[in-house]
Amino acid sequence: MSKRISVDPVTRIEGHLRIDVEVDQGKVVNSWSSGQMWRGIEIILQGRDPREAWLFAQRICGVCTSVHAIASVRAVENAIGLDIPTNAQLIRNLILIAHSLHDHIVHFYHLTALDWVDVVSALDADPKKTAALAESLSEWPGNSLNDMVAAKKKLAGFVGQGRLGIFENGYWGHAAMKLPPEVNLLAVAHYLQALDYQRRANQAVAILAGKTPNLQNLAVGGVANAIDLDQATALNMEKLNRIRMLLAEVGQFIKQVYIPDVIAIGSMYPEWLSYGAGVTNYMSVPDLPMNSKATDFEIPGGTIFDGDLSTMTPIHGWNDPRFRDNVEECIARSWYDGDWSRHPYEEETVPNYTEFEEDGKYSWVKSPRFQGKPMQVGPLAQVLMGYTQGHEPTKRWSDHILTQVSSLAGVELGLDVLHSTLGRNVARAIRCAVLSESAEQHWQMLVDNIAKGDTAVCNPPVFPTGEVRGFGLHEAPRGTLSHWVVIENGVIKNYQAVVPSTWNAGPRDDKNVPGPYEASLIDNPVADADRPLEVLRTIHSFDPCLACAIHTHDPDGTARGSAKAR
Amino acid sequence: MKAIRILALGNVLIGDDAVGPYLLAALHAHYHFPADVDLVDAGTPGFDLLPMIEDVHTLLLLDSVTGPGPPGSISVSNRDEIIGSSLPHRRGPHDPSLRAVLLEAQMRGIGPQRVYLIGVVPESTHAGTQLTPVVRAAVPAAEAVVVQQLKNLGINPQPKTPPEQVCAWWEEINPQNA
Repeated sequence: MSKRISVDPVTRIEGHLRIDVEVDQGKVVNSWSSGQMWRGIEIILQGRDPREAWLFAQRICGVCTSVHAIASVRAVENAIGLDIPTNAQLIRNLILIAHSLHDHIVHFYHLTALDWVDVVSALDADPKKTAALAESLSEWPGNSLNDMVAAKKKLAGFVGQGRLGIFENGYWGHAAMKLPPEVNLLAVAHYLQALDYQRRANQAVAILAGKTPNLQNLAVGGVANAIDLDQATALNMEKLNRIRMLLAEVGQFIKQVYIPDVIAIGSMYPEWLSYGAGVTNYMSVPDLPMNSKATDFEIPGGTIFDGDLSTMTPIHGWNDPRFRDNVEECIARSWYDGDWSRHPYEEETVPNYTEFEEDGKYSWVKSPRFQGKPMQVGPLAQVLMGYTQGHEPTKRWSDHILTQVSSLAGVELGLDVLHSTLGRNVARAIRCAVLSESAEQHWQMLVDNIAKGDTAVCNPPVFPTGEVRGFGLHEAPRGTLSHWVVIENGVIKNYQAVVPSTWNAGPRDDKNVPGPYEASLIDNPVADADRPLEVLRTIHSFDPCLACAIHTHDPDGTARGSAKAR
Repeated sequence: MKAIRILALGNVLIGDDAVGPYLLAALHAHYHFPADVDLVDAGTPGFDLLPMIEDVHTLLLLDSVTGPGPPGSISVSNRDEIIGSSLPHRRGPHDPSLRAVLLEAQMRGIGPQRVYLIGVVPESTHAGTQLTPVVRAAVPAAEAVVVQQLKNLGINPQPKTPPEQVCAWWEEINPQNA
């Protein structure tokens, strides 16, 4: 007899994702992923000035504001064929890199680590043994006995007050939790330290962008930062040095804490390298342009089908017609009028909510398809493209982590184990390490370019009469992001954002083919249907972010009906 | 370190969820604040809220709330009331709620000594860039509640004469396109 589980917490800021699974004999046999919130940005932008679209677009998500802002200006620039100055490319790159470092650290420590780490068990740890273990893994100064004693004391203080505070909502003592107490304590100590480093990454964004979340420094055509090395109010050498220092500190945390923790925790859950592959068609887009015209990119993109790395086909830059012409969104199972599959330029967004019908429409998320196929996007896709295209830092970090995990787990693990729940978390760590090196590189390129006397930051846009169309790409922390804009006589006529979590969290399509979240859950073990920790592990491995809106505070802490019935 | 931070939460793209940012804009247009009070529009920051509350002594949050009362009702809650109930499971980076962020600050032993949430009950949080009439009508009363709260804290914001226009930029369509 199968049992149906619905995980649908409606919390203050998220509350957009509902996952339903059917469990039979301890395994997931069917699943549905449903976005419970309608975004509506497309309609808000119609009729507006394309130069201000990014101000609105960045507010469709409260957390990844920078990624939508930049995809939006890139889309408008693409539509009118506008190049931006080299400084503007590099400043945007540094913002995107710093945001990614922040985002990946938060994902690992504050979003998913507690699916694998038993906080309560850390209370049984011997701080001395924990420090000895930590010091054997890395030279990080925060691994001392004092640090471990302090972390345990802090945790014990919370438990002593009869509450776990921020940790009160975990599945502590669950049968699927397998780390020894010392590793759990180490992870708790690093959870606390990570709060400081994610913030440093954000400070770097704020120095460049004025503010984060919600950037202030963008413009169609470039950025609004004044560059003057001698002016206190401009982007000067003091600010640039501060950015370098912040990013170097974050880079050290990534190399000495995040990567060793992923290796240590990952090697104790090798079975999770065999669950959760799901859709093994992958896509990523090139990003971090190295010059004004964006003809050369630091990070390569491409497609891979059926998990077969020999099918890798690169995506060439931001005008590649193979990308432009092969993306469609299907609404057969989504709460919109009709059942069409259309290109983003041709879509209309007419909401039509019905109930959750598992054989009919059941999500606000559309189903994007590339050449008619579902694609998994995210760090794993990006790592596979980088590895197969010989991107040196991607290859080096992938090999390093896989070798270390193999040695600790006592089995030979190749690149193919990354097609899994744990693999997605490993790939995110690889991407984070790679980008922390890109940060140094792009910082140096910016300083060198300014030193040549180039202080240009913006090329003003000119909009032609008649209709123009453009798309803007960004390889965001959660994967391929594209914004699509149709402009008529200088006014937005149509706008679509095809976001990474739409690719991953979309429902079935008109051919009943499930999306990546749905496919990845099939055959996942579920030890205790009342505490579906394993389902969360797999969904969290995608770094879900359906966001884009609702956030009313609920003083009673109960689910808000209105967030669902929309 | 700021003595008092007035911090608005809310997404300006979903109707009455903009009441926090709108209220902040109204306060900015209508009052002078002393230097140790600052006003921040935080959007819907999730975890990114933490650094914004760590360096203040007193935090006044402006947000939409689900109750009590009908749309347009105004309430004031304190930290214990905000964090009093249990946490739901986290699933996305947006999940760390206001409650979770306050607990995180508490665990780190930093953050505001005093927290007040001035809430307004929304009528509609559908996609759109306008407040509903009932919520818009509640804004002056909500401003008065914030000002009273500040007075209780020993701060007396002076009215601007004449008052400035409220700058709710998200509500306007560029006249060029209207």
